[in-house]
Amino acid sequence: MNPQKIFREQLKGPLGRKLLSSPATYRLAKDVFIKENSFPFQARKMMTEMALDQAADAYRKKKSVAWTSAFFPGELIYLFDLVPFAPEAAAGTSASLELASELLKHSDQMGLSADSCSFHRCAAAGTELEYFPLPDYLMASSHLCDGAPRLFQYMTSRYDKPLYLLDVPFRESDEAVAYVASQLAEIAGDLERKTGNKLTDEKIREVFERSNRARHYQLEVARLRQDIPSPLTGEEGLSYVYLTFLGQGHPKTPEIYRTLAEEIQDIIDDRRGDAGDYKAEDYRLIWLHLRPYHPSEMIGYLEKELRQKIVAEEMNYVYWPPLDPDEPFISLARKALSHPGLGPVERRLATIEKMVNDYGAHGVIHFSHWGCRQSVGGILTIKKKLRQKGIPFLALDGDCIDGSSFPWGQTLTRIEGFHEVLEQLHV
Amino acid sequence: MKQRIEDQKQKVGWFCTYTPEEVIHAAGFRPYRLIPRYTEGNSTVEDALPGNICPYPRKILSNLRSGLYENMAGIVVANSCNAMIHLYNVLKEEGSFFVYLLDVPRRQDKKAVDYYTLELELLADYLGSQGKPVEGQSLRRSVEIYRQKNKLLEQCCQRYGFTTGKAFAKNLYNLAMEAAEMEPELFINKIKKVVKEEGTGKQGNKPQDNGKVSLLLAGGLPPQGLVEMLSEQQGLQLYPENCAGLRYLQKPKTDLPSGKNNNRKEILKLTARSYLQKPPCPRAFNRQARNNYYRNLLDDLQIRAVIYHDLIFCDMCHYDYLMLKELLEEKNIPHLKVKSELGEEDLGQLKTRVEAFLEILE
Repeated sequence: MNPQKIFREQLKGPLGRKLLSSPATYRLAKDVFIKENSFPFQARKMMTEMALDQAADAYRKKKSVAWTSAFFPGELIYLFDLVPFAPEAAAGTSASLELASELLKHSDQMGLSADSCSFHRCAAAGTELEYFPLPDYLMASSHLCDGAPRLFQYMTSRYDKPLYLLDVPFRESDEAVAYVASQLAEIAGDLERKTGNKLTDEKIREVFERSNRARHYQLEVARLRQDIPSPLTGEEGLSYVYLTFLGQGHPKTPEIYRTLAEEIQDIIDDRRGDAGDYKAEDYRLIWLHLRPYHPSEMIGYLEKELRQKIVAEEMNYVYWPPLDPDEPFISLARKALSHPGLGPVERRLATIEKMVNDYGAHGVIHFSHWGCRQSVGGILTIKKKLRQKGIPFLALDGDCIDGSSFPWGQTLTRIEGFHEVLEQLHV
Repeated sequence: MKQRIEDQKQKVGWFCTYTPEEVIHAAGFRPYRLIPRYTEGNSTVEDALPGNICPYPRKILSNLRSGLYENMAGIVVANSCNAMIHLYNVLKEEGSFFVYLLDVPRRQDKKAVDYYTLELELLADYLGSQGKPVEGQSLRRSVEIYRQKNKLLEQCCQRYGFTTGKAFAKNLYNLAMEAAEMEPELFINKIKKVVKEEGTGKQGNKPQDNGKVSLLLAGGLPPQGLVEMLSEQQGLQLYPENCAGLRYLQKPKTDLPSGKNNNRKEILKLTARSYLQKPPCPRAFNRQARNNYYRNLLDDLQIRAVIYHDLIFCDMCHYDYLMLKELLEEKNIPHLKVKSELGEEDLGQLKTRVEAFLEILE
C-alpha cells in the first residue's frame, strides 16, 4: 500500500488527534512526503519541509509558540524567536487531510454559527478538542477579517495566555501609521519583558533583511510569471500563499522564492520545456481570494481541460514597500496599512486592474469562500467595475474548507459558461 | 409647529452608536439612526450586495432604494464591520446624498482616543463642508444638548429600573429608537414631560418588584417584529441588549472643557473619549469589559431568561454568543438562540420557538 495513503488513513483514525499533536508525526511526514514524493518544483519541496519543521517545532515546545491570525505582521514573531502557529492554516491542512468535517461538526455543537467562516469554525473546534500545540502568546489583527480577532479572543478564554490584538484602521494616513506603529511598539515592549529577549538593532536588521530579500525574490517570481505562456500553473502558485501567512521574516523564505524564481527562469529558457503544463494555455486568468483546500478537481479542470491558466493570484501580490530597519514599527505599520483589501473597494480594484494589465490576463475569477465577508461582500461592485472596463469576471461560490458546501456540478457549469464567454470575446 | 421644525432640517443617517451625533448636529443636520423597516414592496439589492453578508446593510439599502427616508442630506457609515464597508462602496454610487466613511477604533485606550480625535476632526470638516461649519462654539452647544438628552435618558432608565412611560409606547427599544431618530431638542421636551409625570424609576419601580420576569434580548440588532412580539407578553419586562437598545440608552455624557473654552479639538477629544468609553459592543477589543458588562446586566436586572438573536452572517454576534452562553450556563439562566435575516418573513417561525420557550419558563 502507498505509505502516503497509510499515513493519511492513520490521521483520520481514533489515534488521529494524538498523532497530530506529536512532533514525531511531522518528522515521519518529512520522510513520507519529502523523501518519497516527487515535487514538480524544488521550491515547493523546500516549503513543505519548512512547514513540517514549523509544525514539529510548535508541538515540541522547546521555544515559545505564538498563535497568529492570517494578516498579523509575521516579522514580529521572528524578532522574538517565537515559533508561529496559524490555526487558520491548520484548518486548511485539516481540510486537505479530510479531517475538517469532524471539526466543523464539533463547532456546531459548541454553538458557533454555521454562517461563520469555516477556517475559523475548524480552528475553534481544533482549539476545543486540543488538536493544536499549546500557545504561549496569541496575536491577531483586525485587517482584513472581522472574525479572526473574535476567534482569538475566544481562544484566549481557553488559555490563560497574553493576547495581542492589532487594530488596523482602513485609512492609509500618517495618523493611522502612527496609531498602528504605537500598538506594535507596545506589543514588542511587552514581548521583550515576557520573553526576556531584548529587541536589538542587530536582530531587527537580520529579520527585516530576510523579509526584504524574500520580497525581492517574490517580485522576481511575479515578474517572470508575466511571461507568455505562463511558466507556472495556478495550482502551483496558490500553494505559496503559505509563505504569505507564515513565512514573512522566516530564515528559509528568501531561499524558497529565489529557488522558485530560478526554476521559473529555467522553464522560460525552455531547458525544462516539458515541466508542468507549460505552453498549455489558451486564456490567462487572475485568481482572487484563496482556493479549496479539500480535495477538488476545480483548478486542475480549469487549467488542464479548459486551458485557462491562472497566471497570478491576489494572495501572492506584493503590495507593501520594503521594510526599513531604522523605523521598524512605522515600517511594519505601513506594510499592514498598504494591504489592497483594506477599507473601501477602490484599492482592491486598482490592484486587480493592475494585475490584469501586468499579466495580460483575459479574465478574473473570484473564489467566493462562503464565510468571508471581506472578500465576498465586494464582488458585485468589482464585477460591475471590471465589466465597465471590458474585463470578464466570474465569481465561483464555494468553501475553502467544507467540501460538502462546494457544488461541483454548478461550478462546472459556471466555469464552462465563462469559457464560452472568453471564446466569444477572443475568436 | 414641532413637526415643521423636524421637517426643515435635513437628516444625516448613521448606523453605529460610536458615531457622534453631536458633530452631525453641530453641522446643522438632524442625526437620524437608520434601522431596517419593513415596507410593502421592498426593493431588491441582489445586484449590489451578495446574499451571504449581514442583512442589516442589505435591508437599509433596500429601504433607501424604496424611498423610505425623506429629506436625507447624507449618510455617515462607520467601518463597524466588512459588511458596512461594502454598504459604503455601494451607497457612494447610489443616491443623491453624500456618504462618509468614519474610521472607528476597536480599542478604547489613550492611543485609540487620540486616533479617534483626529478622525472626528476629519468628520467635522467634512460635515461642515456639506452643511454649517463645525466650529468650537456650535460644537459646544450641540454637546450641551446631547448631554442634557443623555442625562434625561439616564434619569429615565435609572439603575435599570427603566420606567419607559406611556409617551414612549410600549418598550425600551422604542424609547431608544425615538431618541436616535428625533430632533434632540424635541426629544428633550418630550422626555422632560414623561420624567415629570412618571418619576425617574426609583428602585421600587423595578419590574421584578411588580412580579414581572426580566428577559434579556441579546445579540445582534433584532427584527422589529420580534421586539414587538416580546413586548406584548404579559408579565415580562424586556431588556434589549444591543446597539439600538440598552447600549444606546447608556451612552455617557460627554464632558466639556471648563469655563468658556470652545477649543474645537479639545471638545472633539472629549467626545472621542466619551464614545470609546461607552458600554463595549462585541466589536471592541475588550473581551473582559464585555464579559463584565454582561455579568452586571444579568445581576442588576435580575435576568431570569435570555433570548439571543444570532443575526445571520454577523461575526460579532456569532462569537459574542459563545461568551454569553458560558456565563448563562454558569448562572443557570435558561436561554434560547434564534436566527433571523431581519425580515418579517422570519417572524412565523420565531414566534413558535419563542412561545415554546416562554411556556417552559412559566
